[in-house]
Amino acid sequence: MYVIIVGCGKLGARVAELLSSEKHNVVVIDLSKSSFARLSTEFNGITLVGNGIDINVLREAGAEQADALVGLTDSDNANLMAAQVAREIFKIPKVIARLTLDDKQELYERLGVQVVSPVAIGAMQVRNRIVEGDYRRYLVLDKDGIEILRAPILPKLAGKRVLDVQKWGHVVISLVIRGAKAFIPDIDTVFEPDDQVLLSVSSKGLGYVRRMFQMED
Amino acid sequence: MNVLIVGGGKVGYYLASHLAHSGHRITLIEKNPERSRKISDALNVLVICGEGSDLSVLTDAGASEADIVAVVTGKDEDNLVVAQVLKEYFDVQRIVVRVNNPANEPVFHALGLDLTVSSTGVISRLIEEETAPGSLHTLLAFHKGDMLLTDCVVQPGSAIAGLSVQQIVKQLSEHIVFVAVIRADDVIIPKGDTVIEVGDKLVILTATRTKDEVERLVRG
Repeated sequence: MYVIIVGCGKLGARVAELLSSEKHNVVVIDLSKSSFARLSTEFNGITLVGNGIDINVLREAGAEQADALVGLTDSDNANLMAAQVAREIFKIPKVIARLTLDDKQELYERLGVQVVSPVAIGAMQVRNRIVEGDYRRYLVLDKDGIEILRAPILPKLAGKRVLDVQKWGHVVISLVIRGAKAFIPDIDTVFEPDDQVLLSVSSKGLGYVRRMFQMED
Repeated sequence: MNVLIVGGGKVGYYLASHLAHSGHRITLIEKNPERSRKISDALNVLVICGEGSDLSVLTDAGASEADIVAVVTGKDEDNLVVAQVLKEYFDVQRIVVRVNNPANEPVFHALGLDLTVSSTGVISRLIEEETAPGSLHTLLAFHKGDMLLTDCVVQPGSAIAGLSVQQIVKQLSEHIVFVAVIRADDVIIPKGDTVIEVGDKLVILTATRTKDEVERLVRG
């Protein structure tokens, strides 16, 4: 894919490196040349000094052939403008804008721009670790309330099989993390103390998981 | 009138000062606290310190009661988003948006903000007028920039000099509307048989795609 990244801060640089290491074509735009120092030497995409909301700069960055544009500067409004120029003028199919907090999410959606809110995601992760102990919420799917959780195996569950713990259709154990190893279990896999598991849980299975793994509400 | 001004830089400050003297009720939003205090001390206007693109700040500033909002910060991205929040969430009759970089003007039009003002654009158009006589200048854009109200001066050797409005329209692939002909000190509302002369200043309503075609006729 051909991806344009506007803003080479910590987040922008990291996204650029990730995509570039996966052999995507990446162009990073930033107002100041010194920002590109954040990119590692392995980054083999293109860097461009300029204002990423400027139609001429975006054209120079190849916006006419880009598959995606991501606005990751520290200005919410600049990200939203870059994303809209990408969408409405250059017809780039996938546009994403960083929003510091998730307060303006509705506006972004009305304007047809996908949002990513690193601060909101980080805050939720911290909150979950504090309030929910060792039970970590990895992902809440947008549809049907399915959650992916990480939880430790309590002493009372050690020696039991996957078959004894999971509930088909509501709670599925998809991964066992044992020491430095991780593997996909079958139904006969026996849990050991200090195992950790990844669970896919439906909204109906959540109460069961809380009891079984002694999670706090 | 209730006028809301977003941005308390030089443009916002003098706009507030000028309009307050004319008896309008002004509310001004400025994000810098020190600047807000200065404006509040100097002018008889209500100053709200906050981010203009913030829904709650706009609500506090009475955006829903404003007859007109002028969005005039020094940053185009901020102006764009403030205007979009106003359009999406408040029933504001008129929004005037300042565009700092003239290259962003067509972008604003394409995103549905028709009433833009660019001082850099105005000055560069005046200079272009000297260097490229006969150019069509955009006065207003409508409908996401598809339709333009323009003006131009008919140059010596122009293909339309000596022709009537009716004859000129026939030469074009698409209809245009002659809104006014300014000849010396007179303003003429043209009819089909009005004959255009060299030196006339024309105000023309045209589709954006026809603009270049009209320009070729006006030039010498």
